[in-house]
Amino acid sequence: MIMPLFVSLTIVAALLGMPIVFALAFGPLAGFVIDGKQVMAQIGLQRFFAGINQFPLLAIPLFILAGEIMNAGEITRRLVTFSKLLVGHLRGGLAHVNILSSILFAGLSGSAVADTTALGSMLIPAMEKDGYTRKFATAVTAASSIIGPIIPPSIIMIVYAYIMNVSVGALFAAGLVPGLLMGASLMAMTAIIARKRNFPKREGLPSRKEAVTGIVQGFFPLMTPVIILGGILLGIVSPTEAAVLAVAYSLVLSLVSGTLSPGAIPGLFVRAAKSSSIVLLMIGSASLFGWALNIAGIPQSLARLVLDITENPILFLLLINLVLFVVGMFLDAGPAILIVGPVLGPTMLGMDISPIHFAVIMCLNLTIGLATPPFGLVLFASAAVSKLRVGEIVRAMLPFYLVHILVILAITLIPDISLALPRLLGYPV
Amino acid sequence: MASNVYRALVALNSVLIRVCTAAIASLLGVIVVIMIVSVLCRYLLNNPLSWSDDACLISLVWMTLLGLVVGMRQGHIAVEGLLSVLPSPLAKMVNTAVYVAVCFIAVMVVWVGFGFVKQGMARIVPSLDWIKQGYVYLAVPVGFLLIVPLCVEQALRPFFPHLDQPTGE
Repeated sequence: MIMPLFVSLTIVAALLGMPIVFALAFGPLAGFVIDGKQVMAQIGLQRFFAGINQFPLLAIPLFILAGEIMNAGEITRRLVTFSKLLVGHLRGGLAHVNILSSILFAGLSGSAVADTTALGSMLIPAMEKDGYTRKFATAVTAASSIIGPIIPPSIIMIVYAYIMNVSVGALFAAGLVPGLLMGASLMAMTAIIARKRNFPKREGLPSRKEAVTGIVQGFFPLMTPVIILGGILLGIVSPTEAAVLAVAYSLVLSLVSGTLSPGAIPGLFVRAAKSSSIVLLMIGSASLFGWALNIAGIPQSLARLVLDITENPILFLLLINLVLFVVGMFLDAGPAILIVGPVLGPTMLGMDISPIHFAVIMCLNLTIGLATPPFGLVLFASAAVSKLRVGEIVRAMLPFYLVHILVILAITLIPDISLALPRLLGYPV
Repeated sequence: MASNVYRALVALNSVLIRVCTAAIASLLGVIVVIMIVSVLCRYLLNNPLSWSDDACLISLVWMTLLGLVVGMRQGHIAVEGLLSVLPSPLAKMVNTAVYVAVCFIAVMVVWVGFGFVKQGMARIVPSLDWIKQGYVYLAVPVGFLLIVPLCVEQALRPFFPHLDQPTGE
């Protein structure tokens, strides 16, 4: 297979530090100019515009905004209090609390980095005070934050659903069980480590008064995932409408409970608008790039190449996992999905693999990439929160990486972990 | 002398970014308000608005393209590995070359984009017949035009290490 000029131009530009959003457009545009096909540049630009001008994409800024509001309004603290009630009394209690909070937080926000910063800044100091090493506390935070984009709502799943033309609702349903499985497996590993290293164990259960306040305070924030998921999965509202309901609900909740001052709201809109336009621009450029790949016939020839090597879907998926793992080490999950998704699409369909199953594998694998060196946003965020060096965190995370890999293998080999729930809800999978 | 010119450019760009930041936050506000009203009309009054989807999309497109400007100072995601291992003079030159190339993209998009805008002026947005489609397309050339001074700033940035460098905020 010959790699066309424009692909090489894009890769070189990206490696030299050109922001991905420009590198994706640079290759095709420069390629057309070199080939003297300026007309193609016009169509390419149309693709860029059409890539952004899509109603389903409105869910992205809205979910990001809802996440910002909930982070600002002390929702995180309430989730942690609630988690302490449930698992705080186990051996290695705060480590379990950290993971459970990540699971609950995942139902509110779709971002692993937000999870690391929000939970890390609160739980790492608390764990240190309780006698855990800072390295271990940071490792647990980083390892569990990758649950965020797997349990819905999830920004990268909306991106995948859009670029691969599958239902957002089906994807959200498919992510729920794998996300919970990841959480449970991380807790199992924590339990093993806790026993081996004799981690602290809190004596006595929380008092009735503590329990009641914790449950009352946790109740309304925890209704958010119920509203979002229930609304979408039962087909009452579209994902975009669910996202705006989440914004309205979290805004009312934070303002009524007095945990968010009205003066802080403009700042939240600024941050949400900024990060969502960065994602949306990338979607626009990726549409342009994907179209250029398609007219060059690359996904099709790649599919033929792969089908010549193996027709065994399991082998293919294992190979893909390896490729994704490497890609995820270098690229953020969103851009990676936008670039790799359309390239692998035809191969996947040629092998009769369910696009929904493939989506879960891809989202999970690339999210783990956020927590692996050398380039991982979660690692950088946790290093910033804990003031540790990335290398130290990585060493402390080794047992958790093992869990990540085992869960990925399980999800790859057993499609039903992902597909049972969407099938039950009547989505075609 | 040169550093004064650069300083003026940075100051100008900071104003540009501030204006665009205010604009994208407001556009997000517009989207939220329209969506809430639209959901209320659809589910409570059982009388869906015909224009809300198009109005939200127009805001989304403009928010995204003005966000291009806001992201120019360390906002857009890039692979930074190679530059950090190159020797410093070479890294400076590579950085400049990269932003010259970004400038090339910007100029090309502006060039081609205004053609679209002209074509779009002959059409209207279906549910909002007082808005011409061209005003929606306009976001693309405007966004890319506004990043040109920021490309120049990023290209020159490593050559003025002693100046206070603006950050992403």
